[in-house]
Amino acid sequence: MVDRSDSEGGSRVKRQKMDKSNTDPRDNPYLAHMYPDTSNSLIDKDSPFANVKRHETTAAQAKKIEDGDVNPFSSQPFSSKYFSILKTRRDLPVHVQRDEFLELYQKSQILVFVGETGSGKTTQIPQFVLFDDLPQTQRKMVACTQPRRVAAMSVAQRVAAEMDVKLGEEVGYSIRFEDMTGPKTVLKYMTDGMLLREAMNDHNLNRYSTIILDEAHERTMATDVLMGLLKEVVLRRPDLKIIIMSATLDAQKFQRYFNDAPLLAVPGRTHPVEIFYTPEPEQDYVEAAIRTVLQIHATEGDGDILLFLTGEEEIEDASRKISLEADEMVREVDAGPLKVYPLYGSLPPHMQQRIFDPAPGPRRPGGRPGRKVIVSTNIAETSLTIDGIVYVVDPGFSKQKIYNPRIRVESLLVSPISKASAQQRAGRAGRTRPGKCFRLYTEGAFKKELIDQTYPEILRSNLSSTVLELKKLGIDDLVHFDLMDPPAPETLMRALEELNYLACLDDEGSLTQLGRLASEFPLDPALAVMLISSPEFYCSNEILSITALLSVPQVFVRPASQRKRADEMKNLFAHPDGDQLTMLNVYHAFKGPEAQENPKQWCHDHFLSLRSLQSADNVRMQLQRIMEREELDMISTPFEDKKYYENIRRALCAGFFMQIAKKESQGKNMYTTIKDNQSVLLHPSTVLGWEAEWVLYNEFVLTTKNYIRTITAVKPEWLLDIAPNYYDISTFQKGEIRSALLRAAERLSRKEKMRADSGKRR
Amino acid sequence: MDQDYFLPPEDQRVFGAGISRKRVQFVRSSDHELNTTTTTNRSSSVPVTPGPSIADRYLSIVLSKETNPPNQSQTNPNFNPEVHSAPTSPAPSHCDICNLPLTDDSSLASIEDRPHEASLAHQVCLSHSHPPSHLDRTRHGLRYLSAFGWDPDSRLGLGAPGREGIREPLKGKLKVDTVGLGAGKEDTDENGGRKTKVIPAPVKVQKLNAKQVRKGHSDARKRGVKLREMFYQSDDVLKYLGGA
Repeated sequence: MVDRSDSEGGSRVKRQKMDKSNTDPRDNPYLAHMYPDTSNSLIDKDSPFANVKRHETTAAQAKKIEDGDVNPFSSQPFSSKYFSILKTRRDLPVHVQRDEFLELYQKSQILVFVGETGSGKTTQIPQFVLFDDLPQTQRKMVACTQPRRVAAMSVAQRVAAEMDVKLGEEVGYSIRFEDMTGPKTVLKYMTDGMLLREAMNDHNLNRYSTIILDEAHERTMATDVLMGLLKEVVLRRPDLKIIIMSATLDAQKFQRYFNDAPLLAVPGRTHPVEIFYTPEPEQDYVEAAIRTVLQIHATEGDGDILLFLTGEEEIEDASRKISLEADEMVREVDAGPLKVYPLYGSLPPHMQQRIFDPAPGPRRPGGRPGRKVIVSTNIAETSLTIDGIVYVVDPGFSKQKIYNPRIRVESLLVSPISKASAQQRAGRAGRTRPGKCFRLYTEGAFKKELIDQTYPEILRSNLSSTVLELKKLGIDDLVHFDLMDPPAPETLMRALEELNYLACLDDEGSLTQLGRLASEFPLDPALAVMLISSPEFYCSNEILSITALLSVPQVFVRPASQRKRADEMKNLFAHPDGDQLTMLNVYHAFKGPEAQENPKQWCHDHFLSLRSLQSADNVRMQLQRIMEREELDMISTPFEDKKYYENIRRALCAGFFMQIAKKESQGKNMYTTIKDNQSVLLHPSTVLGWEAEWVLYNEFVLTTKNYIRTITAVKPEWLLDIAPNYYDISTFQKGEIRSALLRAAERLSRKEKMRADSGKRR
Repeated sequence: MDQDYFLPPEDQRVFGAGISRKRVQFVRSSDHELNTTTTTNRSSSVPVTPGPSIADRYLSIVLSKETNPPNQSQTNPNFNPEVHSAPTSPAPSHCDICNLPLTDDSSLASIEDRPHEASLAHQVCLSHSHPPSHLDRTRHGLRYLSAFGWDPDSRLGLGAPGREGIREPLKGKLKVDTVGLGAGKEDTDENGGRKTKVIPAPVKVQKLNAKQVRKGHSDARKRGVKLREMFYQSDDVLKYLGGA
């Protein structure tokens, strides 16, 4: 795309200089893992670890060290709080099997560990490992991956408290855009995606002595890729130990995948859950769910209710209806008070925290006790644990992502859940005492219509960023790469083609310079390429802001009760050429002095999400750091220049040239996507002020009608200019689009000719 | 799972596009080439020969008179040894493909009345050749995968040998209503074949305002008049009225 040889050469010179100035790499703490000591010489003679031998410790030895006076990691005396926590830790189910665990851990390179929720595996197993693996003697670390950022942070905090150390010192965490570790860190909680990023630059993961993949049953994309990768790494690194931790039944699948690795199962602390089905299928699951909740409230003993629904709108709607009905019940039949809490991902954190509030008490002394109902998406299925739930209502649906490589659309569809997920949901009722689960479908439907396991993410996603990561990991043979569930060939082919058009892969399929650079950004390849090529269009500052805004949840807020007002406010920022430019206007206004005076009030007044804007600000900062590291120029076209917005729109095309739609000559407001030939409508939320012939879109929304959302008007000449490979006219079928492209090509060549002529005349 | 759902029409290749990659396997018949058309002859090879068969008669008509019509005495020694040549010499052996004993027992042959290769058991055991995959062979992504040894016509997914993955992308189903799980389908019980009645979701009644109602009425009236005219108007009457 662009000749970067100059900047490349420059950076190489700089790096060499740095190498020379570094006298002894042994002193460099970041390279410590490269010079391991085989003896325990790193440990003081009076350290509690002085008398134990690595990989030969027992639970009794560990207990003695834990009960000692001095913290073996920080060499500080233990606090009194430590001992009180220690007592509760010893009550956890995993603790009973510590010896058994150590034996298997020492014996085998890979271990599969199954512990139901509540067994304490996430907090305790990594500590068990620390006391036996002694990573500090190897100048290495123990890593424990989590699928979610929040989990990595909160667990690290908990474990730091349990070990009586400061978070970020001996125990730390590392998540995208935040690194909370230090030179002394021996135990690092991190997202699975972070470990994958580290592997891209350290193919053997040399910094780690043990890697624990937690919540492997969730089968996130990163965990799946990591498992395939670690299967290869263990062959190259016999000293590396792997523990796969899963919470569910399909542990045998993991065992088989890891060449019959030993398996250790620890029972959770759960109570029996009675399961009920409906005798007949329900005609309306939302209505049935609401009635079931009210029925439980009227007839069952005390205990909180958890209701699973599919999406924000459905949840808010059901919550409102339940509250109304419950109020009536209180008035008419003197039922106990009922408090309803919605719960979904886009809910602000303080609202999410409210689900942990205790249930309301009786209305008057001696009256019937109150109860709380949590209406949630499937985030309450695994990620959040709420104590006190006794009743679960399960309609059998959730929103699931699915990717169709033929039309290149990723969509969230309401789909039936799997048997495993239904069991997981039921299990939520038995956390504190025996519970009940009400399934709003027949037992026959459970057996016949539900699949056994939820399809792993890797089968349901666009693979272009994963393929880019794999290529960066040095894996070229994507055909035989040993994934637990390899994706469909067509999906992989699509990803390879997209990367080829983005010039991240060359025609032979090897990683290009641009591809290598793009993989440095924790972004979708299209966004990364757009960002990298933005200096060519003199607007890298603006594109950086837009990229950040596109990577965070929607910045515009549109409450159901004040839609009109919200739209008016949005129109204040509107740019006639499209939504990306409008978002940019919002960001600039947000950074202005007037807004910064009181950002909270300003966002509230303008119907904007402060949280989204702040996180966009944060993401922008992190991305800017990467751009500076990679020596990409931060430039802007002067705002007064009439090409200011045009340059931005051109730069958008550099990343999104595969997401273009053209207006149909017949049919009002109908557009056709280029190459995939899907009929689409502009999403009603767009601010685009005119019926642009060609538009670029960020998102394809699949509902009863196909919509494209977040739109900017573009010109076909730019597309021909920026992505000539993709817009090779000879590959287009005869039709409107082809002839429009031909006309544009003609205009382009005429213009060039004129320019050349005028040049000659001079 | 239905593996070949919605093949996009433009991706449908002409049949035969992949033939050069995956050859269709054939098994050599142990009989003479012509045999397929003259199988009836074989039964006659035993004792009773009711003169020239229909096929022979046909050949005698079609072929010129100079060439000798193939008669019994010639054909019989011709293919009888060949029939036995493959399985013969080392005692009645087993067929390589279906693992059944090959009988040269004439009595059995007379019952079966056809060569072993034509038997159902043998045909079932033959490996089936599938139509080639619908994927466009010119795609860049396919070229990459082929370079690493993936064959689109192999009917195998990607992944380590022996643990191949899915062959077609997962398909999603758009759900826009709130019909519960298992409802809306005809649910036949094993015992009584009982069908659960599907209650149609209540249709939303659209309310019209006075103006729309009035317009509806006048439209209906106009339509009525028009229809009446079409049916009952006769030119004679019109002419009479016009003339009057």
